[in-house]
Amino acid sequence: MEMLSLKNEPIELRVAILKKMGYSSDGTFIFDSNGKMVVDPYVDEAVRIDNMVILHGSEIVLDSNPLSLAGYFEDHGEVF
Amino acid sequence: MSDDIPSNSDVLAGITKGLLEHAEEKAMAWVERFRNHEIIFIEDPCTIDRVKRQRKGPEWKMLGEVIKDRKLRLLAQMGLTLRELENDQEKTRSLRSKIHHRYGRDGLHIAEAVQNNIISNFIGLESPYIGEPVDLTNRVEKLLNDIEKYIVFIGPDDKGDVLVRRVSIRLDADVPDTLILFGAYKAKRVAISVRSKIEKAFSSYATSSVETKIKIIIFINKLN
Repeated sequence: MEMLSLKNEPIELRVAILKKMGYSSDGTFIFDSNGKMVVDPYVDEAVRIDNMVILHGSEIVLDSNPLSLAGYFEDHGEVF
Repeated sequence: MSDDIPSNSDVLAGITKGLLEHAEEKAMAWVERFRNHEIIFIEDPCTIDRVKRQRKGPEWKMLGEVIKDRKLRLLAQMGLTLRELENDQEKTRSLRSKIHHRYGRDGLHIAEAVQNNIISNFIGLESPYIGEPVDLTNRVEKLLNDIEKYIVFIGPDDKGDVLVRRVSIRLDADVPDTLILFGAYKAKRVAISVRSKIEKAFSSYATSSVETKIKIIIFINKLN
């Protein structure tokens, strides 16, 4: 599976991707379809649009950091 | 201005509209690829690569075999990550802060114990004397779950005599099978002096150590 980096992608594209997945953003944080702020359960912090990863498993939006990614691998296995 | 020549604001609006439409099209194509399980979206590929590489490394293979508890496994992995990030102050600070925020001071100490090779050395020392793998798991998880009780992280400003008292009280009161002292840089010297005083005061315990130029891990083990 290809890892597509959003590092150099503009905010408009990030927002558009999130919208297509049923999320929204105020330009900083991310909200789910119920308008609830998306919180990364592995670090217990709100996910910021400029540092997000979107992974499989019901389209999980997480903060991009080693603790969250290791947690994801523990829960889902190394699926990519 | 002639009707044929667009104003600056019209040009800007056109460019913005064009960019948004382009973003929409790109997003649609990418999300479709995501849903087909062809791609995932990430910020920095290095972060994922580092985590994946670590999970394939020999130390994680050993730790992962022994540590079964999910929280402890995560913290152990973070210890390996902290070790790898030791030369990157900003990333180290950020990860330590996330570990502390989610798992508190004990969680950070568990990660530090792995970062500083304390747990791998402990497993290396204990495994020859333990029959069943499950017993080793219990022993290591007990140590990690009660890290403040079994590992003394010596700080650079800690006073030797205060530490000797603290360690003596623990050995007298809890009679643990193992108590571990860890010191780095300035604290290494303090750890060595505490060790020699404990050796003299407790004949029922034996010490051994693993050290590098800057760090020392001292194991104080109860004699059977």
